[in-house]
Amino acid sequence: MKTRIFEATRYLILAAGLIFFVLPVASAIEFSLRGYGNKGHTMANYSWIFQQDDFFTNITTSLRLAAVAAVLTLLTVVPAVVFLHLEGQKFKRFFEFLAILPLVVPVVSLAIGAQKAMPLFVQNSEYELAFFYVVIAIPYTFQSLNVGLASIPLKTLVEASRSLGASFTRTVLSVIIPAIRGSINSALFLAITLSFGEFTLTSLLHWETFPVWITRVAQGNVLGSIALSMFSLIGAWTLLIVVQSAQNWKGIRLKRTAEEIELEEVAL
Amino acid sequence: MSAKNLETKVSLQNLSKHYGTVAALQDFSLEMQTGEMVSLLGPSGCGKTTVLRILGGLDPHHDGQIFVDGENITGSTSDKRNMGMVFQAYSLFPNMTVIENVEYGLRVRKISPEIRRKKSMELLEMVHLSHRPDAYPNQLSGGQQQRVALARALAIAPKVLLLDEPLSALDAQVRVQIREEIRRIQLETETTTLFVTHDQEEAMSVSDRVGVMNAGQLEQIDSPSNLYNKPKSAFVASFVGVTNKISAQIEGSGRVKVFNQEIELSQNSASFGSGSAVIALVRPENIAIASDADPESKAGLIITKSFLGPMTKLGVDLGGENLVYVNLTSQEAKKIDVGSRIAVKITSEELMVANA
Repeated sequence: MKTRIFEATRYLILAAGLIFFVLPVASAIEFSLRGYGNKGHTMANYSWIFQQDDFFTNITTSLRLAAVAAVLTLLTVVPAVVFLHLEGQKFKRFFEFLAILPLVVPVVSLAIGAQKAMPLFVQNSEYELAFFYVVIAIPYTFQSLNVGLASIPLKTLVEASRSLGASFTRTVLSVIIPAIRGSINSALFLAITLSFGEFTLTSLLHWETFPVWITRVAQGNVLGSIALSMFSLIGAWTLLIVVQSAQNWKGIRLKRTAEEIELEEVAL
Repeated sequence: MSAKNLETKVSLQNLSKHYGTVAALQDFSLEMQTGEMVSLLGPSGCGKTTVLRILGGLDPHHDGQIFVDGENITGSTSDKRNMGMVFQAYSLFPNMTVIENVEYGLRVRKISPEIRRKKSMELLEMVHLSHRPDAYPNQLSGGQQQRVALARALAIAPKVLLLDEPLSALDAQVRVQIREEIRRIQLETETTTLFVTHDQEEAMSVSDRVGVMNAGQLEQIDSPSNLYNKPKSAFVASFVGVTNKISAQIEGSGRVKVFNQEIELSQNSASFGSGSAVIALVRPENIAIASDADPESKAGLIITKSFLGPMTKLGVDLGGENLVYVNLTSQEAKKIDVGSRIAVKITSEELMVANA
C-alpha cells in the first residue's frame, strides 16, 4: 500500500513538474502562432523574423561572439582549472571564491571597469564582448570543470601517462580533456548560451547583438517578439541537443552487472 | 632468479627526502639485480611508497643518486625513465578501451599500428584479457582493471616495473590470484620489479628479496625466509609474522631467561647488561606443548582457540601481561579445549630480545 502511495506521489510530482514547464512554453508557442485580428493560427510572426533586415547580421554576430567566448573558455579556463587541481590545491578555496565574484560584481562595474583594462584595439572591436562573456560565464564554467576534474583520479592518470613516456601537453590533450569531455561540453554549452543571451553588458557598451536587437524590434510587434523568444529558446535547445549528442558520441559505455563481473573473475 | 642475472640493474644511493622537519627517507640505499623482484614492506608512513615514487621520477628528493643500468638518472623526469608503473588506485584512462590503454605507451613511442596492436594483444593474452580488447575500463572489475594496468606497464618493455600496492583495492580471493599472476609474468618477462606493499604475506610470497622499512630507513633486506627466521632487529622480528612478546631477563654470558628456560641470545639482538629486564620475541610455532614434569616448561590456561585450517592457534594465559600464542597442527589441537591447562616450552635455539 505504502509503495503504491509512493508511486502515485512520484507520478503526481512528475506531472506537476511537466505542467509547470510545458504549459508556459506551449502557451507562448500558441500565442506566437496567432495572427493579428483573430485570423487563426499562422506562421506569419515567424516569417516576420526572417524579413527583418538586421536579423542575420545580429544572429551571426551573436553566434560568432559565442564561438569566440567558447574558444577562450577552452583555452583559458580549462587549463587553469586543470592546473589548479594538479598543482594548486592549496589555492583552490581562494580560486573557488574568485570564481563566484562575477555573480556579485554588478555588470555596470564590470562593463566600465574592465573595459578600461582592455587594450585599445580590443575596446574598439565587438570582440571585447567575448572576453566579458568568458568572465560572466566563469561561475558556471568553473564549477562544471571543477566537478568534472574532482570526479576522476586526475593525479594518478597524469602520473600513469607521464610514466608511459607522454609529455605533459600530450597527457592533457589525450587523457585529461577526453576524460572530462562531459564537463568541458557542459562548460562550453554554458559559455555559449550565456554569451548568446547576454543583454545588459552588451547594451551598456552600446553594441548590438541578437538579444539587444530582439529588445529593439520587439517594441513594435508583440506577437513577433514572442515568436522571436520562442525562436531563441528552440535555438538554445537545439544547441543543447547537439552538445549532448557530441558528448554521447563514442561515449556509450555499457555497464555490466556485478554478477557478470564476478562470473568472469571466477572463470579466469 | 637465475644466476645469470646477477648484475646490478638499479642502484639507489643515499636517498633522503623530508617534508619540513619530518624525514620521509633517511640515507636510503638499495641495489636491485636484473630480473629481480624486490618488495618493500613496512608500516604506513615508513617511506616505502616514497622510494618507489622517487625511483619512478614522480616525486623529487633532496639528497642521493639513482642509477639504472649504470646510468645516472637522478635529474630526469618520469617520462624519460622508461619505467612501467601500476598504481594502487585504478589508473586506466577512462576514455580509452582496454587495447587503447595498453597501446598508449607504444603510441607515444611512435610504434607502427600493426606492431603495437600485435604486442598489445600478446600482453592481453598474458593477463588473460585478450577477449575484451574493446571494453572500456568501467566495464571491467577491479581485478581486470589491474591486469590491464599491468599489461600497459609492460607494453613499453620497462627498465623497471614499479608496483605501488596494486592489490590493496581488491578483495582477498582476487588479490591472491593476481599476485600470483604478477609473479608469473614477472618471471616470464624477467622484468626487474619493485613492489611496494603493506601486506607481509603478499611480499613474502612473490619476492626474491623483501626490504623492511621503518621511519624512512631500511631495517633489513633479505630473502623472505631469512627475514622471517633470522631477523636482524627487534623491529623486523616483531613486524614480520606473528611474534609473542614475553617478559624475560638477561642472564649474562649471552643468555636470556624466559619462563623457566635459559636460551641463547640471538647475535642480532642489541646488547643488554646482565640482569636487565627485556622482552623476548618468540614465534608461535617456536612454542610447543611440553610435559608438566619438565622443569623448563611453564603451565597455563587456554583462553582462546582459533581454527586456521591446517593449523590452530591457541591463546594461553601464562601469567604475563599478554596471552602467549601457540601454533599447533589442527590434529594436535583437537584434544585441547578452551579452559583446560597445558604446559608449554620454547623450542628456539636462540632468541631475539628488545627493550622492555
